[in-house]
Amino acid sequence: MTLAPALPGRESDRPATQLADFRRHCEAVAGVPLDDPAALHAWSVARPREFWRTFLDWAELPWSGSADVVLTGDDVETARFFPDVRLNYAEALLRPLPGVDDDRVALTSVHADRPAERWSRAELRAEVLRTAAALTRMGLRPGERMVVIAPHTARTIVVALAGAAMGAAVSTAASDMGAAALLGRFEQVEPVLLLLDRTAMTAGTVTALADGLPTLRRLVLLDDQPLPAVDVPTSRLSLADDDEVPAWERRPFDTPLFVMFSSGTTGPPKAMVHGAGGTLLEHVKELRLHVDLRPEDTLYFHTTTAWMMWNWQLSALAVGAHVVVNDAPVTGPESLWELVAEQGVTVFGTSPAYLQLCQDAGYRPAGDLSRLRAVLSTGAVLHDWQFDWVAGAVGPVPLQSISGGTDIIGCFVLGSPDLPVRRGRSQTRSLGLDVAAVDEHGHEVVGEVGELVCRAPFPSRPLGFLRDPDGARFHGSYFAEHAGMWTHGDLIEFDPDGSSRLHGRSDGVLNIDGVRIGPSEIYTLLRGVPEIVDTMAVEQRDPGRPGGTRMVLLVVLAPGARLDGDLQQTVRRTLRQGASAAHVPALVVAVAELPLTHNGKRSERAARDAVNGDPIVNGGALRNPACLDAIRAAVEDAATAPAVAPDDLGDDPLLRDTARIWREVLGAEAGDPDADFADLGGSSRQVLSLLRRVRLELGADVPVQEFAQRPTLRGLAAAVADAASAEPAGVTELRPGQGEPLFFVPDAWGQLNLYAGLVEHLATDRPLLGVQVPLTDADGRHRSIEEVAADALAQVRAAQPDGPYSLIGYSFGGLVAFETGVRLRGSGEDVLYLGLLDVRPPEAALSAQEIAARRRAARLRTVLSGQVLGTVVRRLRGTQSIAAPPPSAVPDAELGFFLGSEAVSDAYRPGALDGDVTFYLAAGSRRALRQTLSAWRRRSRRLTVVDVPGHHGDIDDDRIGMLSDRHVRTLAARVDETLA
Amino acid sequence: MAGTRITIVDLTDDAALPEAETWLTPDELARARRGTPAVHRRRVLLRAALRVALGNELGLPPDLVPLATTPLGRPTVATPADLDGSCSASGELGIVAVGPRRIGIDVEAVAPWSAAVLDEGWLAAEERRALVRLPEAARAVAVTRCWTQKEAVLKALGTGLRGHLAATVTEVGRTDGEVAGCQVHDVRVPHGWVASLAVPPEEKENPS
Repeated sequence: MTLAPALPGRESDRPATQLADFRRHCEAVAGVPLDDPAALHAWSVARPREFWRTFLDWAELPWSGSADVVLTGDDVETARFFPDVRLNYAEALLRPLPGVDDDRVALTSVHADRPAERWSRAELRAEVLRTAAALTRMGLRPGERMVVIAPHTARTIVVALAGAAMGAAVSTAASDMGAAALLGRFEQVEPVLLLLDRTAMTAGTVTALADGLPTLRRLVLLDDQPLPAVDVPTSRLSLADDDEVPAWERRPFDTPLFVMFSSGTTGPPKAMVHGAGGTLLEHVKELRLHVDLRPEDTLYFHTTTAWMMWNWQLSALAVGAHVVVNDAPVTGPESLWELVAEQGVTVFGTSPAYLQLCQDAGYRPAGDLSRLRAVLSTGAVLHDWQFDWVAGAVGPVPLQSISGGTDIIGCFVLGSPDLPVRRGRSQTRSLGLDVAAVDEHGHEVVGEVGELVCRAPFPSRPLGFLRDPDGARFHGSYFAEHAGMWTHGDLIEFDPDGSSRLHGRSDGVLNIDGVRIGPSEIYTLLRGVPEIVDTMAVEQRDPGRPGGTRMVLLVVLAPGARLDGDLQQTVRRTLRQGASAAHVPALVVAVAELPLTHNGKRSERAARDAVNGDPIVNGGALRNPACLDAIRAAVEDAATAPAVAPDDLGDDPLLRDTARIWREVLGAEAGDPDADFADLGGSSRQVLSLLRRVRLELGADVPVQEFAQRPTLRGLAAAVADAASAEPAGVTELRPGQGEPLFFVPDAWGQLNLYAGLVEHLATDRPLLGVQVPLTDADGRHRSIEEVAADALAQVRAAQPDGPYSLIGYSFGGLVAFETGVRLRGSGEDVLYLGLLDVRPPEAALSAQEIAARRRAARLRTVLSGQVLGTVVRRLRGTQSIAAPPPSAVPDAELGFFLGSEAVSDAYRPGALDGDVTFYLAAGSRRALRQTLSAWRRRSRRLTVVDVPGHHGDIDDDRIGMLSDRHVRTLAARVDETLA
Repeated sequence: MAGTRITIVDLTDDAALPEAETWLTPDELARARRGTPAVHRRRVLLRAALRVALGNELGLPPDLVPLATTPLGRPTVATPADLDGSCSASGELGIVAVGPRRIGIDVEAVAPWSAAVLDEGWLAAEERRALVRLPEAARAVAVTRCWTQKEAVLKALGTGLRGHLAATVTEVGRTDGEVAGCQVHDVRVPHGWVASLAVPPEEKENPS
């Protein structure tokens, strides 16, 4: 991993972000702190219904109907959002907004050839409604489709919003596209109206459109040129004073709003339909939460009407922001920066290509950019050095790389106002979108390149394709590759922090022994090696391993450079440090030139065929086919990879086993067995991982303190040997003392930590010992209470050969303590004290009446605490019998472990114990346990119930527990009283 | 945290190494040289950064800062001024905090979430429960913050690290708050790391 310096956050006068405000709403719904940006995203995808409903309420968009149904299912392909919500996209954009001056400029249209036009919200709203009336007069009806071919001006926005207001679907394109391209798109749309600005359009295109769109009822001209001679009724867009201005009519959430086109490489572009509600919700979410766009902002996103960023920036009107549009072409690096300065733009959207143009020209923006607070970039991969250029030439504004697509009319990854920018990376996943990188099996990969997928429904999924009645093309385009996921066709790599880097489209990816590698990262990294002019990474069938593949890196050297051992090492180190070990090629081969097509495009395909000795499939398309023979020969000559040096640790198997763990935890060679763990780069955090693995894999419990005395591989191996010979593990001393010990039995996690506070505050001077019993056997199966208690019994007796005995346990540990007590009594020993800390009687011990009472209490408690996880726990438990639930039936591993312990608890049938039993009943458990305590009374006639403050403190319960700091002193005092 | 200065240290900076070495004492250098090249570089650059930061407060060149180390490994400054320093490193990132009162700082690289952490014995039961209740994707950072807050607090309190980790209970999911009587705050560091700063309760006799 490369270290990216943290860009200083711009601590400004801006109020707290809208995201922070929204987070507070989510925390109230979730009932958990979500301070961490990643936690909010995790919650948004774990609880999509709560998230989207919270957002809808928070955003205060105009809608009617019912939002009770958020989502109709969980299938990303078919689930629909808010089926009972009705809204109007144009109304949402143009409604008067509280706190926003209706007469302030809301839209500025900058022109190449005339002064800018400005519109207030009030003017824009009136103009859109009048235009809607005019379109109605021209025959447009709700549910029909219209096409607008026009430049990026306010006029285009007005007519598009007028169509949307009427419930028509709108499709837009730029006037400078060719007739074939336009017809290829719009013939599928079957529009009834075509609105045309013929500036920059040839007469032939106009005729071709009129002839090629047989569904047209009317051609409406937006320019002032003479009317064309075409066979379709033609008129200018004229607003009549007597037109009846319509009211906003709210229509279903999924009313078609925009028809967009995918940039497919084969066949005609696919016409996809986006719904009004999904588009609005996604855009407002991105603009307010990810861009933190507000009414006082001015947004300019450089786009044309043919790109989805046009639709995206349009929605900024819904936020109340001032939107700037511009029909002037980019004539040089200064074009857009000057516009940003002149218009006081605060959020500027552009592309990597424009930024590169500026950088290559050595340009530095000269105007006043003091209002600018963020630069957004999308459309292609944004390289690391472009972040440096913006930081140097523009200043300390965050450069946010955002990426999504026409297909979702929004972004999968984008910025965040409360995160710093890491150069080269998109800051975060889009909230509410379960975005991930997956391998070819659909398994999530982190830290390596994978296919970009979205694994759960999202509102801006297209409603479908036109001319695809059974949805087969739609399915094939996004849902066929990975079942249950939207597969986007991009390569992406996420870090654990949720930031990401795009690696281009999925084709062209290398697959090295199953690891997918986007070559663009390799090229980017090696750009910094001066001896190398150009590189191409190709996949080769590994001659040494049938079925295996390896990476061959072809490099073109700078004049005078030699591919010697040093340069090879530089290449490998650069790739390993900058990317990962998987990016390190098996072979680095110097070649004179790389295969190029006649168009000058690099042909990795041809190089791959040459490297593999396969026939060249596309040789005719190459400008320099002769280079392929040279490449083939050079690769054959290249030496094979060097062998890896083995460890030199001798034959001691324990040392070798320990070394393996040592190495894996350190992530480095074990090296000198007498080297200090810290000297080798090990952290104190890693010590605890190391010792846990030693405990699990070598069966030896090495305390931290012991490791600290000899923190070397050899020292650890010796400690392991000592621990192994000292088994059985036996009890551990929690606190020394005098007299007969009090034994603590571990909790459902097998841990004694939870008793730390109790141990600290107990006044008794008796020794306090902890029993250490494994809860699972070697196969991971949860052992029954009886099995665990048998171990506990052996340990207790080893530590204290004769009674009387004293035992205490919380919850699960209480059951084990009880069973241990039963067994001690059974062998004639005295049990002086048995403390049960809020131990729920197991289900198997309850009468039918008690079971019913518990179910009622559990339901009530779930409702009271509002904890969904608790419901999951109980539902899973409701069906269990004796065995632990299989791991696959459980949401995650640690919860599964806990459930396993709970399952064996409920399967336990306690016997009778004729001795004193003290039951410490937590105040919060009184209601739940009142009716089931009888189960304990049946088994121990001498049961004393002692009330203590606090709650049980269950896995699904974050109320203050009886063992918490707050209440543990009282508990300790009560235990002392009964213990005496 | 008024008066506290934080320095982020790039531990990959080979170019800074030769000069940094000249500021260290022979003992500090010897300790650094015991490590692998990466550990050596880390120890030198981190110690040097601590010396520079303390030197800035004291008006001394870094090599003249009266810096010593307690038997528990905590840096101490032998000066009449109220000045304390704390430092931490993880991977390629180091961090140094210097302030007019006791402080503790800790940084840790975020590792992918693994349930194994629950079994390592340094988390309190309520922390384990809270972690399990967080969405899985949020746990890696949250558990790393548990660690950095605990370490920062234990450094600030000046107690030894070992044996007290599970008893130092953090509020999982909160970046700022109170842990074991100390105020803890997230410190902004590059992605992939979490850093926490801890300050013990103000002592009554402490002026200003």
